[in-house]
Amino acid sequence: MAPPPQHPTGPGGAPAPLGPVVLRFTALPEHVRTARLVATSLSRRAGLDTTDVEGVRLAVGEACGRAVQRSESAGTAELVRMVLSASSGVLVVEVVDGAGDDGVESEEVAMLLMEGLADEVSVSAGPGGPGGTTRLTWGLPADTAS
Amino acid sequence: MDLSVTSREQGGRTVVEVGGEIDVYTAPVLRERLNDLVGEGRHHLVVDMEKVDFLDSTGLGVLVGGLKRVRSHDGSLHLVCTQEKILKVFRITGLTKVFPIHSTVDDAVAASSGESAS
Repeated sequence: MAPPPQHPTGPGGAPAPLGPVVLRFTALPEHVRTARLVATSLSRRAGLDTTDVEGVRLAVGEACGRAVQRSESAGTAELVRMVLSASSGVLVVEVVDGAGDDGVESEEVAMLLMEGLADEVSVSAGPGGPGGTTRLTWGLPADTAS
Repeated sequence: MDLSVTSREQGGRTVVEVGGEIDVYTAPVLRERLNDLVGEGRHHLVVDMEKVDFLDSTGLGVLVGGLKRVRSHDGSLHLVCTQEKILKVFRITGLTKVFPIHSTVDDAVAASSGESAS
């Protein structure tokens, strides 16, 4: 069976932008796996190699786990939101939680992993206050297809 | 549940075979199993990670917790892992220096037995 095309191309052979794809979920640990599956699928479509897809899987899992833990500790009922998009050669994954200052910071290990796996990591404010947004980015391979 | 944990005795060591995904959802199950084993007096553990498909920071936390627990009983915790994607998780977090990591269960059991014999 022929593999599906991994580099969707737009007019002129330039990589077509993907997404945004948005997932919103109740802040519970069991949904983190679903978020990982969505992120893995999109990153594969965006043309990342196997190693980087694994990196996305783990780093996005860490970001979503962080959001869930912050939400739980803050006791917020706000859904966690994950937004993914690939355009201009960059895959961007943003995970936003509704916990503000009350969100207890996750362990350093989660941050170490995200920093070790993504090209760039930044944490900024979310709708509930400081620290609610984790943004991960990966550079996409240059499209050399015809 | 996307995690399986089974244990058996080999060469006086308890081999814990873990399979599937160890993440923020399933890690508590592994924590409980390790705690139970230590509670039953099994203080020398070999955790076989060869069938683990995914490991996150909460899973690492459980393994570190297990290590602390067995050490408080003068025990040991050895890992078996050859999968690059899992080894990478230990490497990024600096935990390759904390856990003895082996390529086979036999190697891990032998190393574990050698330690406590001295």
